[in-house]
Amino acid sequence: MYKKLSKTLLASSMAAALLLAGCGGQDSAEKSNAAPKKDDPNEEVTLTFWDENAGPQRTPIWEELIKRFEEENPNIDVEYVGLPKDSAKTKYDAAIAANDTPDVGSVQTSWLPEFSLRDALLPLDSYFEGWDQKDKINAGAIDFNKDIVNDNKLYGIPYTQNLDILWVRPDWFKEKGTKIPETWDEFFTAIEEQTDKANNRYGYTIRGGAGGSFQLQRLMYAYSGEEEYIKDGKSTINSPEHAEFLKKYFALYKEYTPKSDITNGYKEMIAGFDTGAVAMVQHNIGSFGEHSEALEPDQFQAIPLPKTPDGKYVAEGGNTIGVSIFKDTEHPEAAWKFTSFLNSKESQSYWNQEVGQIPTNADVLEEAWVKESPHIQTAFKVYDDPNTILYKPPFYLPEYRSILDSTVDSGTQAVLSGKMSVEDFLDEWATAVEEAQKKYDEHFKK
Amino acid sequence: MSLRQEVNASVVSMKNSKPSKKFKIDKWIPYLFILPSTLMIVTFLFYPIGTVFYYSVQNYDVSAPFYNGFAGLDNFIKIFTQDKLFLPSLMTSFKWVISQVGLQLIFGLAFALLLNQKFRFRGAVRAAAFIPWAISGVLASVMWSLMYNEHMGVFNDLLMRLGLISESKAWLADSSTAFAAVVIAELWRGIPFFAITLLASLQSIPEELYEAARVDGAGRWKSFIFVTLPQLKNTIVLTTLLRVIWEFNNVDLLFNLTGGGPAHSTTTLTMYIAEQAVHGSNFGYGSALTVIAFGILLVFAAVYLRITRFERED
Repeated sequence: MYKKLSKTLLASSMAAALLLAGCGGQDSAEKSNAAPKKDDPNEEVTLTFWDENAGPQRTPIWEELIKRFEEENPNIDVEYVGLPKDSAKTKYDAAIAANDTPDVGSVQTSWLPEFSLRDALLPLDSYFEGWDQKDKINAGAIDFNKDIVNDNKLYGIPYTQNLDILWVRPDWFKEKGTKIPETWDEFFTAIEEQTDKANNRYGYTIRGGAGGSFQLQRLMYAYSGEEEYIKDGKSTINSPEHAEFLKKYFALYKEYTPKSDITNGYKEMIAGFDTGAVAMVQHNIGSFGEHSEALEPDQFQAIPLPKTPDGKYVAEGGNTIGVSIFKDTEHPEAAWKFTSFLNSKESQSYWNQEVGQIPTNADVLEEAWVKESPHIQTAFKVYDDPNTILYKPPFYLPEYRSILDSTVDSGTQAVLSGKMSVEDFLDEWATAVEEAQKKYDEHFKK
Repeated sequence: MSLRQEVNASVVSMKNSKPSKKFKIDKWIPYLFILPSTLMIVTFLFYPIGTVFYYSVQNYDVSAPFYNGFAGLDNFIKIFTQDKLFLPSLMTSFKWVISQVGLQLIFGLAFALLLNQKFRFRGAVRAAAFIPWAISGVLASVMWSLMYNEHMGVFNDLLMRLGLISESKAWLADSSTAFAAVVIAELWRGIPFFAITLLASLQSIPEELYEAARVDGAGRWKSFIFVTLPQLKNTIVLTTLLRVIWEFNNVDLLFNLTGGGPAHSTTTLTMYIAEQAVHGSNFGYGSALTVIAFGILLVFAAVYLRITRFERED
């Protein structure tokens, strides 16, 4: 019996030793990858691809594109990993911290500064320069991606662009003779006119829960026309115009909106509009798919956010999503092949038509479906206007997202439930941004 | 033959064949038996706890690794001097634990007493009473969020029909009702735990004790106070202790029903830790908060067990 036991012990310690050795082996393998070797174009390779907004709507689109890619490149196998939108950033964060990143990923432009500071991404400048389709990709979006990162390199190729707009019910507006709002005064009037609480109909819905802060910020800057987010170390968040706007905006709550708005996430907010409880909602053109499934074509319409008092549209910069290659990939050539495939005319056309967003490839913009999509034409009206103000949030601040997620989302709820004044709320938000900026400046000695 | 006897027998048989090894085997066999579980406990309990203590004195934010480094007691100082949410969330935790455990115990005991009576279909009723405990937290929270819904919830519908409210309420979105609403949902799920364990314990009380009490002239109430409760004491101590720790650490219903809102009115300390560490990816600060929660539970468990043992010796 003793012999048996000692054998077991020996075997298990050997297994443990192998395990440890295995870890060590991986380490050294990673090190040798630091100098990438030239890929053999016919080598059998497997790429991992992460989607940052997986779900019943988008996952099948990616699967179809991957199928097409694998048919064209039989030696490359792409493994799709879908991350739910709300936890995608956290998953990427953990993967980068653990050096366990995918080869290729769909990465929101606002994450690029942070990921590049953490040395997670592969610069794509040389690949992009050598690509015969490079002139087709929206040059402004490419420049923006280079502009926002610390070292001004290109870390992501945008394949889609988005814009915050208002979705309205044209049938109800016509019925009550309400004017489709073009100014902020008309916006507030329309909400009042469309509210009919006796019939369970509200003029508007506020996203008071998760993710509401990002939309709130876009409304505030659209109202004020402020071009800078941070001026000489001071944030413009708590400007008097923003306070003025929020006082009017939050006063809508309960009076002209459902009471449960305070905890509204994306789903609840969109459901309010799609089930016919709400006449107008702020979101982006990306929810086109949901509206078209729930409503008749003449029951929803995209209109731009109202213009500033001096008649200018405002949009937040960097509202694109791109394909990035992660630095630890063992097959950068194959990864680029996939990245450029996703940005080809056919792929971008398929993806954007299915989702209902704006392609960045000039060839696709000429296609009939783009010209016949009223919501995409609405977005062009804003992006193509030479007077449109494009403000740039401080995506490079590592705390930027957590300020919006914790300070601003819960602050919004505090104001809506009457526990905090608009001024205190904005001051708290501005202070958090200013402190993060100070910390950043000290660390990077700007 | 019990395990121990078996081991002894094999030791004896080996002693006969190889007498020189007897001493070593005797000494090592018990340790070898506990080795697998010890390894598991060390790997999955002690190691993670150790890392929490380690990270609590570090700046560790995975989204900003360039700021990471040794922080000393900075995280703790920040918690006690600057953090506006620490104390309120700790208070919410206390409110949550006391209301949950107290109400669950009272209702659970009442249920157990009822189910201990003899009546028709007792088996079926008992099975039905335990269903909430078997339903997963996520499923339960989906059901409750539908029932509380402002537009189509069954509560609003019922209360309006009864004429108790004139317009529908957003139960989970109003900071004056959100906490109570979640307490009711969790209560529904937690009562069966007390009912099951107390019922099991009730069934083990010998009938003779009640007979003796009756002979001594005790009515129902006196039998309950002087027979039932003392007999249930050990079960009550154990279940409340477990439940306090579980409820303190509970997040599923809170997380799914209100997410800690509106305006942090349902944010318990555990929810706050999740917000900091999991959502904010600020693991250093989250770890420091966890160390404090760990300390609170440790002190509670020690004091609670001391008090109850003191009573037993009495």
